[in-house]
Formats: sequence, structure tokens, C-alpha cells
Amino acid sequence: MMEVLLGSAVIVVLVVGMSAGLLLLRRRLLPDTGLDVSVNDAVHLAARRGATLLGVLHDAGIGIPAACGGSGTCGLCRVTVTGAGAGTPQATERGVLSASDRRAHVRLACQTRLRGDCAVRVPDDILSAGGGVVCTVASTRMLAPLIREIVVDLPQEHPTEFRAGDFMQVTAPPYRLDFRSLDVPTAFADAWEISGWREMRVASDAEVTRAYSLASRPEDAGRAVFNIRLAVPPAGREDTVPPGIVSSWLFSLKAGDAITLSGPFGDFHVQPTGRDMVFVGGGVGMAPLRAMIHQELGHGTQRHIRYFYGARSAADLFYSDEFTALSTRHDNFGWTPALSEPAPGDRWHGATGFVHEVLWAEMSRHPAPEECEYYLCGPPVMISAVLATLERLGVEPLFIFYDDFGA
Amino acid sequence: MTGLGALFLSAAFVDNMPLTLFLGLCTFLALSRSPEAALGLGVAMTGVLGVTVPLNHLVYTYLLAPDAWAWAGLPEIDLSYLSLIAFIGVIAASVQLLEMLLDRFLPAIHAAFGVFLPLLTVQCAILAGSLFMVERSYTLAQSAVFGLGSGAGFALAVAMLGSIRTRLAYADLPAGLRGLGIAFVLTGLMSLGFAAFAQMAAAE
Ligand SMILES: Cc1cc2nc3c(=O)[nH]c(=O)nc-3n(C[C@H](O)[C@H](O)[C@H](O)COP(=O)(O)OP(=O)(O)OC[C@H]3O[C@@H](n4cnc5c(N)ncnc54)[C@H](O)[C@@H]3O)c2cc1C
Ligand code: FES
Repeated sequence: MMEVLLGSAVIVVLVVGMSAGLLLLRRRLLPDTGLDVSVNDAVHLAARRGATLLGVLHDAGIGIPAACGGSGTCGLCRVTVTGAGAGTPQATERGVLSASDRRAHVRLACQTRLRGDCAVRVPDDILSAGGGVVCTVASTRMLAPLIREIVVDLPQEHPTEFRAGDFMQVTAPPYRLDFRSLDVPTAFADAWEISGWREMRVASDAEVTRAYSLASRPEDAGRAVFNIRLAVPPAGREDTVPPGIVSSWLFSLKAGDAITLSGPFGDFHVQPTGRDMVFVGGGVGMAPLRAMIHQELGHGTQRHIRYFYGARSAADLFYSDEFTALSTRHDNFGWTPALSEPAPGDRWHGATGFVHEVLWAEMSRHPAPEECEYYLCGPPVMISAVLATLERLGVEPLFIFYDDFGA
Repeated sequence: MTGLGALFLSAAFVDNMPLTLFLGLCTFLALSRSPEAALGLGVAMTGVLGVTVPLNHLVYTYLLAPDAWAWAGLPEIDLSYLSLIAFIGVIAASVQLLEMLLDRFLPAIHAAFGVFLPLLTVQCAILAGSLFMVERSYTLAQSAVFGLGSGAGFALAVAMLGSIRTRLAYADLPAGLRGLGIAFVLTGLMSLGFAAFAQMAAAE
């Protein structure tokens, strides 16, 4: 009996004593005091020690883009932080930030845990963009089996200036959706039925924010045009894995619905040089490239522009007539859609094969492929195949610009 | 050589934690990808072992050992079966303390460790250090030297493996061996090398 009592007492006293000691020490060593975060020397925010900088900025309505949701992979939440309170870059940041970024005190806001006062510098437009702006959906239509165009009317007072290549952030409210209730045009109904996408269901009980590139042309002034690809689960797992939260919600929108946008943001832009430009796209990588090409041609550029776009079959190809019309109107614009698996009914006469193969076939005949600038946007596999092709063509990475949508 | 010096060397080389006793292999293999991480782990191991083994020695001698309560007129009480749970508690607390001290005074090192420091709480080599201390009935001074010695041995082994693995970046390995596969093979070879120390000790 004595032994049991004494044994229990020893363990309890030992554990409780050590915990109490640690708690006391923690209070002495790491006091949980309020910190001051100054943003662009204009705004001062109060924060707690240990909070992430991204959380503090977001709570204050400063909409730093964060496409990966704060996991330190997308690199969009870059800010310049000075002051001891920001600590040293984490191991996760080393993979995303270059050495010169780090020398310039650039940090990923989502990986910066505050340990003292600090000063943050964010682009002025983010500070003025404020939180989200509620807008109205003007129209929606299906472009391909999994791609939908959504046109949003921006409020008059919202600055509509954006640089082609920019993206905006869309915030989806809590919602639930049964895909049976979705209208799918007859042209794509078969594909939906066969793939089991009609059986999908999705529910979300929190606000979720994602980035979507603007596909707006100059004539879309006052509007934001998006190309949304529905993030479907891996084939065969439609009944167990839900589809993407924000893309599903966007698919459920109809004209007149409200949508919360913030931005525009971005650093994927046309370079102000005189070089020929080659655009390579696939899937919804169409969006930023379409905006860039229209804006360049609209400005009456003399630079030569070629656009290679890869799709599987004719059903997956969209905006094709628009680019064909552009290429007849502008001598300096060439449009090369490439189908990797044209369906028998497609009567396809254009280029066949993966877009990087078509790019290789065309550009290896070019007198100086290494003198052109390349703008890529599309699925990660396409980007890596095209990067390998460009290396074979002897193009310096300096001349290659791409957006892999945070993959 | 004095007794303590010999104990330090034997803890570091003859009874090397990862390579002779195969303890703490999970962190040993996981954190040996780059020499910097390996060195960091080695330093942390040395610190934690150097602190916890003597601390646990005190806990054991004055609270748990068979005759610890004799002074209170309770000579028959033997709480040594509680040592496992007590040792783990002490180790967890020491790791926490170390983490707080680093966070406060050496934030750069703290950031470099990241999640690795808390991981040491449940590392088998660290618990083994304290259990060996009991089994071999070390004194307080011996416990401290033994803790530091086995930590230093771990640091040496993991730094060596880390350096070899960086060199392997230039080797053309078959796909199946890349990464952990070759690390296991290397560990085996290094372990054979360390077996030579045991031979030397036995020959003496
Ligand atoms: C700068 C930028 C620009 C972008 N532009 C565009 C654009 O123009 N058009 C566009 O369509 N997208 C664009 N994106 C991508 C977009 O932001 C989203 O990442 C994408 O729409 C998916 O978001 P989601 O919320 O729909 O999917 P999420 O909810 O994030 O889900 C992603 C995937 O995970 C799967 N999944 C969910 N749960 C599980 C589970 N338990 N197990 C396994 N899998 C699971 C889903 O099925 C889905 O396929 C852009 C991204 C960035 C960073
Ligand atoms: S939100 Fe920080 S890297 Fe994506």
C-alpha cells in the first residue's frame, strides 16, 4: 500500500513540478506580450507573439494573396519584413525564395512567426485593395467539359486597371452542392455521365479563398473574365473524394449571383522588350495568356507573337475562333492549336501531338529560337515538358516566364 | 588514461549509439541528408544526452532506486519500475527547456532545428542513455561523461553519414537505391568500421 501511494506521489509531484517549472520559465523567457507590426509605415497592427504574419495581415483585411493556404509552397505571400521580430527564414522558405530575395529581407508571410516588433512592406495596391469586394456575376457558360467561363461585373468605384497576367482572389462562402442539380449543356452531358461527375457532392463549412487568373480582353473593361477548371477528383474516386471546393462553387454560379473578389495581384507579366514572343498554354492556362495576347495586340505592338495551345480533342479547345480571327487581322500573330488525341468526329486538320512536340517541330525551324521570349501557363506536366523542350532549343531560363498556378 | 576519459571514448566509439547499438536510427537516417542538418542534430543530441543522463541519475538515485527511501524508514520500498515513465518525463521537460532557451537566446539555431528538437523527446537513443546509466550503475560524474560521450559519438556518426550522402549527389546510383536505400547500405558499412573499435577494446 505504502509503495503504491509513494510511487503515485513521486510520479505526480515529478510531472506536475516539471510542468509548473516549465510554465513559469516560459513566462519569464518568452513573455506573451502584444507586438506592433507596422505596415508600409502607415498602418500599425497589434499582434500576439507566435502568430503568423499572414494571419495578422489577413485579420486586418490586408489581402496578401495566399493560394496555397499558408503551406509555404506557392510563394505568393512574399512581403518585405525588417526588424528583429521576424526571426530568421525557416527551412520551408529557402526552397521558394532566392538568395537575393533573402538578402533583400523578403519573407513568406505565412511562414513568418512573429517574435517581436517588425515593419512590413506590402505593395501599395494590396493595401488599397482592402478586403474583398462584392461583385455580381454577369454571365457564365461552359467552354469545355470541365472549363467554365465566368464574367463578373466589377463595381464602378473599384479600380479596373489590371496588368495582363494578373489574377484575382475569389472567396467562396460555406455551401453545399449536389452536382445532379447542375446544368450541363447537352454537348458535354455524355462526358459528364460517363465520368461519373454527376454523382459528385461537395460541402464546405468555412470561407475558402483561391486565386484565378484574369482572361479579360481590353473590350471587357469594367468586367473580370475567368476560365475556371473544375478540380475533379482522381478518375475512379468520384464517389469517395470530393471535387475542389472553390472551383465547384464557381461552377454553381448563375448570372446575378454575388461573388467576392480581391486583387488584382500578380508578377507574371509581358516584359517590355522588343523580342518576339512565344506563348504556350494548356487547359485553363489559357486565361492569363489570352489577356496578354489581347492586350499586346490591342496596343498595336510590332513584336511577333505566336501562340501554341494544347488540348486533348476538339471538345477541349475553346476561344479557337477568336484566335483564328485575330491571326487573320494581325500579320504579326500566329495561332497553333495542337490536339493530342483528336476524336474521329473532330475532322481535325491542324497540328497533332502534345504541345511541346508541336512547339519543337515549329521552333526548331525558327532562325533563332533562343532570341524569343517564352510565356507558359498550364498544367505542371505540360510546363515541365515545355521547359525540357526549350532547353533542347537552347533557350536561356532568363527568357522563360511561367505561371504553374502554384503547383 | 583516466577512468572518465576512457568512459567518454568508449561511449563515443565502442558503444556508438547508431552504428554499434543501432539506436536512434530513424532520426539518424532522416536528418543525414545534408551536413548542416546532420551537425545540428548531432549538437542537439549531445546537449540533450549530456543534460538528461545526469538529471535522470539524480531522479533515479534519490527517488526511485531500491534504497532511496531508507532514510525515511522505508528500506523495503523499490520504485525502480517507475524509472521508464519518470525518465521520459524528465527528457520531455529538458527538451522543452532547451527549446525555450534556444528560442530566447539563439533564435537562428532554433529556426534551423525547426521540428527536429521536439522529435528528440521520443528518440530511443536518448532514453537508452538513461537506461544504460541505471544498468551500469554509473555515478553522477560518470553519467554526465557517458551522456556527453554517447552524444558526441552520435554527432560524429551522423555528420560522417551526412557528408558521405552529399558526395553521393555525384554518384550514378541505380534508381532503386537512391535516397534511403543507399543510406541503409552506408550505415551498414560504417557500422562494420565501428566494429573495429570494439575489437580494439576487447584486445586491451
Ligand atoms: C496564380 C494562380 C492563378 C490561378 N488561375 C487559375 C485559373 O485561371 N483557372 C483555374 O481553374 N484555376 C486557377 N488556379 C488554381 C486555383 O487557384 C485552385 O487551386 C483550383 O481551382 C483548385 O481549387 P479548389 O478549391 O477548387 O480545389 P481544392 O478544394 O483545393 O481541391 C484540390 C483537389 O484536391 C482534391 N481533393 C479534395 N479532397 C481530397 C482528399 N481527401 N483526397 C484526395 N484528393 C482530394 C479535389 O478533388 C481537387 O481535385 C490558379 C492558381 C494560382 C496560384
Ligand atoms: S501562402 Fe505562403 S507560400 Fe503560399
